[in-house]
Amino acid sequence: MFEREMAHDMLLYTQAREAAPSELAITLAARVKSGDEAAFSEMHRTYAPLIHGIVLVRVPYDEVQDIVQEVFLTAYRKIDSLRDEKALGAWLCRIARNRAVEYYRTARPTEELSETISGRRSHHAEAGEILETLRGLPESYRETLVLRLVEGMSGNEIAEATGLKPESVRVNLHRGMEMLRLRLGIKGAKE
Amino acid sequence: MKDDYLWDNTGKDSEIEKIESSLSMFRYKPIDAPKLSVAESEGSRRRIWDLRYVLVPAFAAIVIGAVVAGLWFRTSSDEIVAKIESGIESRRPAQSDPATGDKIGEINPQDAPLVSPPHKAGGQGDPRVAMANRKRAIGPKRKGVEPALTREEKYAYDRLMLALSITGSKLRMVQDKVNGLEVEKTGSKNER
Repeated sequence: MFEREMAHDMLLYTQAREAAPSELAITLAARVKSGDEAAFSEMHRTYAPLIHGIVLVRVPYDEVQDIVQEVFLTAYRKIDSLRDEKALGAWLCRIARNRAVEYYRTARPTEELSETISGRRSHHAEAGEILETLRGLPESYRETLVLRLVEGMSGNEIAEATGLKPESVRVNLHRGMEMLRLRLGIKGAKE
Repeated sequence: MKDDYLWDNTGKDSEIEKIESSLSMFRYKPIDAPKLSVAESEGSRRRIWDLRYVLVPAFAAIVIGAVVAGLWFRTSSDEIVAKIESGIESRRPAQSDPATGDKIGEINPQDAPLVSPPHKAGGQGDPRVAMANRKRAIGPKRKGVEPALTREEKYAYDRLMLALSITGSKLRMVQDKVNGLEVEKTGSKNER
């Protein structure tokens, strides 16, 4: 049952992310700039998984969805400030990071993820522990790993969406994964 | 190869797969885009007009400036022509000589302002009076008359015409730009 739900989510997610090349970004950005609300919905559908991952690695899980929605509203209001339409994804990521910083500046500290899921099944507890470990990694590693391991994006997709070079993404994935294995005590990690 | 699976999901890596399975509960679940408020929708529509709020006054200012400049040039040219004609008239009689058959108001190019007329009727000392008399005499026929100009006068006249043509071309450029921007805003935009 759980695996079926996971497969269904992956299918929906993959369909939403199938076409997000730079040409699509340019077209989307231009349409959103002209006030096309349908384009805004399409932008949301295309980039929400990316923004979700960026925010997830920074704020408590219960706050992630609201902040993701706020990021897109902010993006819509400030779309005219986007100069390079090809870098729409990277621009959205920047808004998401700023919003996450603002969250801690304005909101009182909330329960951490591990406390939020306390009392639930051990599966969720293990997931919470892994996510907390991910959050403790250096920023360049944790963001890339969350997009890969949680959101299921490939290395090329991460590079294109965030504006990083594929080589940088590969290094971040490899080194980040090694560090994660070490901290989780997974067999085979390089010490 | 483990790195391949980490990079693009090819191959197999049981450790990474297990981590992915654990973390899948935190994966993004598709939801609808946030509803845009009326203000935000209005703001988006207003965004289209903002450019016009800047361009239209700028275009209007340029047009008004060009019209004022044109009027000024025209006035200046009229004054210059008037001075030219008054200078010419001060050297010629007010009426034509019936014997020669010259039309009233026609200036013989050969009798350039530099040449003193053979006759000079009384009361021609003031060029403005002579000009006024000449205007009354020639009436609308002045339109078809080509005044003879000195080299300096012709140069000044040419410069005036050049300034007016430059102003007109600038106006056309601005107008084309505004029209082009409007077309782009209404249609699909593919910039850069």
